[in-house]
Amino acid sequence: MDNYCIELNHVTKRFGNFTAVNDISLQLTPGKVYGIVGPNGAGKSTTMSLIMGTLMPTSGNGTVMGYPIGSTEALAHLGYSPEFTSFYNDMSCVEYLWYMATLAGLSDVEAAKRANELIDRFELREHANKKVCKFSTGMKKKVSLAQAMIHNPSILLLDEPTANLDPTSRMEILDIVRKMVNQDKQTVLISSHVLTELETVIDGVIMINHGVIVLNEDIETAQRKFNNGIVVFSSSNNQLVLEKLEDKYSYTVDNNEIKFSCDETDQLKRELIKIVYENDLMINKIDQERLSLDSLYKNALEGGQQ
Amino acid sequence: MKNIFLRTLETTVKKSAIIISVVTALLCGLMLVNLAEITKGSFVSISNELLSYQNLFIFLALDGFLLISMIASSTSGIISSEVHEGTFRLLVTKPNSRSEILTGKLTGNFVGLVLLMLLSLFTYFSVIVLSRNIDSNIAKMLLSYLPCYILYGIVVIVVVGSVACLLSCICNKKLAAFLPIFALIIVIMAVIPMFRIVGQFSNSGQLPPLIDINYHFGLMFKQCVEVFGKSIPQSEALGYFTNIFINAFSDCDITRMSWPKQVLTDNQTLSMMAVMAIYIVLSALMLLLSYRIIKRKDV
Repeated sequence: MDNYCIELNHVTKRFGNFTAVNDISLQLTPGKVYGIVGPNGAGKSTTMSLIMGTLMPTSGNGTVMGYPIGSTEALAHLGYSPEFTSFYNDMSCVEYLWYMATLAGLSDVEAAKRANELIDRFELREHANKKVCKFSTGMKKKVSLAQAMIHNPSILLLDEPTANLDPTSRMEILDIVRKMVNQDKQTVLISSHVLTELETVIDGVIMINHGVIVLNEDIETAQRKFNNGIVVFSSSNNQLVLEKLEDKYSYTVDNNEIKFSCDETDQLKRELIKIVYENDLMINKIDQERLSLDSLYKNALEGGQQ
Repeated sequence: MKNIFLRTLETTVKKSAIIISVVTALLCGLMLVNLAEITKGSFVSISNELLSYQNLFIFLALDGFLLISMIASSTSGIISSEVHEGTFRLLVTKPNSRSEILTGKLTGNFVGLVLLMLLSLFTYFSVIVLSRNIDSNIAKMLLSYLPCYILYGIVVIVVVGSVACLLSCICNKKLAAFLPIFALIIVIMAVIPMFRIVGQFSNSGQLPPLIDINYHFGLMFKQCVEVFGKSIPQSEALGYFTNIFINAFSDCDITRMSWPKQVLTDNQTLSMMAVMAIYIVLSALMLLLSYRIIKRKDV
C-alpha cells in the first residue's frame, strides 16, 4: 500500500476536441503543501476539478486516500475552495456555513458549532448575519475557505485563493493558509498566479502547461535542478582559489564574491573545501544559489523542459 | 439529504408561488359562484352543470395551467439553475453522492408542489363552501370530488415533473429547461383544444389519438375521478378541452328519428388504464435517466 494521499494515473480530460488535461499522473504525499502553477488555460483548475470529482475523466483514474476520486469516501477527505465561489443570494454567512456543514454530514448542532468556530477563526463575526452575496471579494474568499474546511478535511484544494484580491487581503489569506498548515497539518494543493506568494508557503511544485505536467518536484530539488549549478563563494584569498582551480569552471567575480557556473556543483564544492583546507584559508561564504519560483517557472515552462 | 430536501421545499413554496396559487384559486371559485347564480334548472341539472364547470376549471386552471406552470418554473431549475449559478459545484464537493443530492432536491420539490396544489384546491373549495349562491348539498357534492383532483394533481406533478427533472439535469441553464415545459403547457392546454375546436367547425381532420397529449391528460383526469367511484358528467365544453367526449352520430333506431342525430358520447379510442400506465412508466424511466445523467455530469 502506498503512502500517497492523492494519486492520479494517466488521467485525460477532453471537452469535445479540446484536450484540457493530457495523460497526467501525479502523487501527493500527506502533510505537504503543493503549489500548482501554469499559465492561463494550462489545466490547473481542470486538474483540481478532476481530483474533486466535479469533472469526470475521459480516461484514466485516481484515488484520494485510497478511495476512487468522486466517491463519497474520497470527498470526506477533501475540502475545496474554487476560484469563483457562488453563494446563495438568500443566505447569510452563518446560514451558508451551517448548510454546507450539514451537507458534509455534521449534525445540526455540530454544524452550528463548527460554523461559528470558523467565523471566529476567519474574523467574520461582525458580518456573520449579513448576506454573503453582498460581501467584498476578500470576505467571500474567506467564506469560501471556511466552507472548504467546514468538515475538517485532511486535504485542501485551493484554486487561486488570492486571485482578484488587494495585497493586504492576499497576505491575510496566505497567513490563514500558513496557520492551517502549521496547526492542522493538512495537505494543501494550492494554485496561484502570484508565484512569489506561493514560494513562501509550498513544499512541492507542480507545473502544468498545455494540460501536461512539466515539473513535479520538491521546491528545493526543482530549484537545484534549474539553477544550472551556480555556486557563490568567497574566502580570505579568492585569487589563490581561482589559481588553484586552473580555469576548470567558468566564473564571474562581483563584489569580492566568485560566482561559479557548472553542472557538477557537488564536485566544485568538494574542490573548494579542499583548497581552503590545504591553504589554510577562511571561508566567508559558500552557497548554492536558489532560483525564485518566478525564474523556475520561466525556466520550466518557457525554456528548459518544453 | 434532509437539509437539501428542506431547502428545496422552502424555495419551491415561496411567497410568489403561494400568492399566485391563492389568487388563481379564488378567481376560479368566484367564477363558479357567479355561474351558480345564473344557472337555472332542476337540482340535478344545476349540479351537473356546476360539476362540469368545476371539472373544466380544475383540469384547465388549477391542476392545469397553474400547476404545470409551477412545475415548469421550479422543477426545471432544481439542478440547472444551481449549475448555472455555480452553487451546484460546491454541493457535489461535499461528501454526498449525487443521487442523494438529486433525491433530496426532487422530493423537496415534489412535496412543495403537492402543498401548493393542496393550497389552491383548499382555497377554491373554501370559496365554494362559504358561498351563499351554492346550495349546501351541491357544495357537498362538488367537494366530494376533492380526492379525485388531488390524485390527478399528483399524477400531473409526477408526469410533468419527471420531464422537467430530466431537462433540468441535461441543461446548464434554467431557461433551456423551462422553455420546453412551457411550450408543453401551451400545446396541451391551448393549441390542441384550439385545433380541435377549429377542426370541429371546419370539418378538418382531428389529431391522431396517439399523439393527442391533451386527450391523454383528459383520460388520466377521468381515470383519477373514476378511481373514487365518481363520474364526469358529459359536457361539450369539457369535450373540446379534453377530448374525453366526442360528438357521434346516434343510431336512428335508438333516437327514433328518421335521420341520424349527433350526440355526445365517451371517447373510448384509447384505454384510460393503458394511457395512465404508459405515462407512469415513462415518468419512471425519465427519472431513472435523470439519475444516470447527474451521476456523470461535469459541473
